[in-house]
Amino acid sequence: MKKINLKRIIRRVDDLPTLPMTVLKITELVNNPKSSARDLATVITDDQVLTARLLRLVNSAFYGFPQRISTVTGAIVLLGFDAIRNLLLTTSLFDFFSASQKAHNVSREELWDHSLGCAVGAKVIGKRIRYDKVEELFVAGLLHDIGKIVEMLFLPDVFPRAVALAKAEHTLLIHAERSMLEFTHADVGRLLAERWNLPSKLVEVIAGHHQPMEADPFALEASVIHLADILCRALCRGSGGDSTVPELQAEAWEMLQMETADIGPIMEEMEKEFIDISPFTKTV
Amino acid sequence: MRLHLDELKPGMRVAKPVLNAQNILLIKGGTDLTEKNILTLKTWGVTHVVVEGTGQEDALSDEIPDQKGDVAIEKRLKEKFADVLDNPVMVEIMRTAICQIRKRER
Repeated sequence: MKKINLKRIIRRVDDLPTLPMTVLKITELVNNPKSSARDLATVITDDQVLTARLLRLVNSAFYGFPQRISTVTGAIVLLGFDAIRNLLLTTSLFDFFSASQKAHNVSREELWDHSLGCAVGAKVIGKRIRYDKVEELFVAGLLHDIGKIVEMLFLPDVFPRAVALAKAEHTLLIHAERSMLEFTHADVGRLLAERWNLPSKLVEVIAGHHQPMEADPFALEASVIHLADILCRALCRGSGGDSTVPELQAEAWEMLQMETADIGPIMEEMEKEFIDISPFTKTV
Repeated sequence: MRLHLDELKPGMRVAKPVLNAQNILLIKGGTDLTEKNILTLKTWGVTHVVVEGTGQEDALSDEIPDQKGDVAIEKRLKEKFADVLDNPVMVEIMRTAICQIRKRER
């Protein structure tokens, strides 16, 4: 059988799902060092839905601020520009996941839970290794399997077959993809992330979450996502279409400079945080 | 008994009214907690709540583990990890996952 190549997806690149204009504008503003909190607040408050979501999310237990945050400017000052961009990206992704078509053997809810589990894991690991921008890791975790959503949309005939093959052979979806296609969900994820003009760190981490060392210069971030992916699969939070666990790569583990004894507290914390954020995301 | 927020579970009955730092009533005494209540408390920065009961009930239920469920979890995880258990870190990940999932399902 002739393998399907990435061109079939690239040809339809104009049909790729887009982010809301507001999020694109905000990404531009955040990338511009001259922008002020007021500029950012003006763009956000123009969009009522986004404003409401932003305030709900910053006031959720996940952020754990003791007092209510009632204004957008307050949220920006408290969280910082990058965190706000990431937060808005997160809320837009809820729509993206729910708008995607369902493949008959992979549920969107399961894929969402898997992504959220990986995001929470990445945040907890980030805190453990004292990474300074943990919310970036959270977003990377949320996005790492975004290529699978595109495959569900554009390859409705092939994607379920890859999932079925992975399950039958008790292997990872990425291995099944390699045997059937000329690309993987990681390649497709890169394509979409570039299309969305996401920061190169996110692009490389999405593309390299199965081979973290290839995500250089962001191998550390990719290693965090690689481990978070393993941990949330272990905790059986959601499913990305396969039912096995990737092997922990020795170089990635070395890069994280953690001890085996760190695993217990990290997974315990992941359970707590997942319960905190999960009901919230379902109601958005 | 006075419990930390992390120890609260839906269904526990609040013994005394819970107030926030501004003395505004969040939850009335005698309320049976829901997950939403617990989230609300967390949002308001409440750390401890007095609930009814002596703590004995928990100790008792811990002594009768649901052995059938436990075996199923272990079997499922061992299948998942079948190809990667030559790495001691992966062994620890599987062990911790079994403990956490048992805790969740209790």
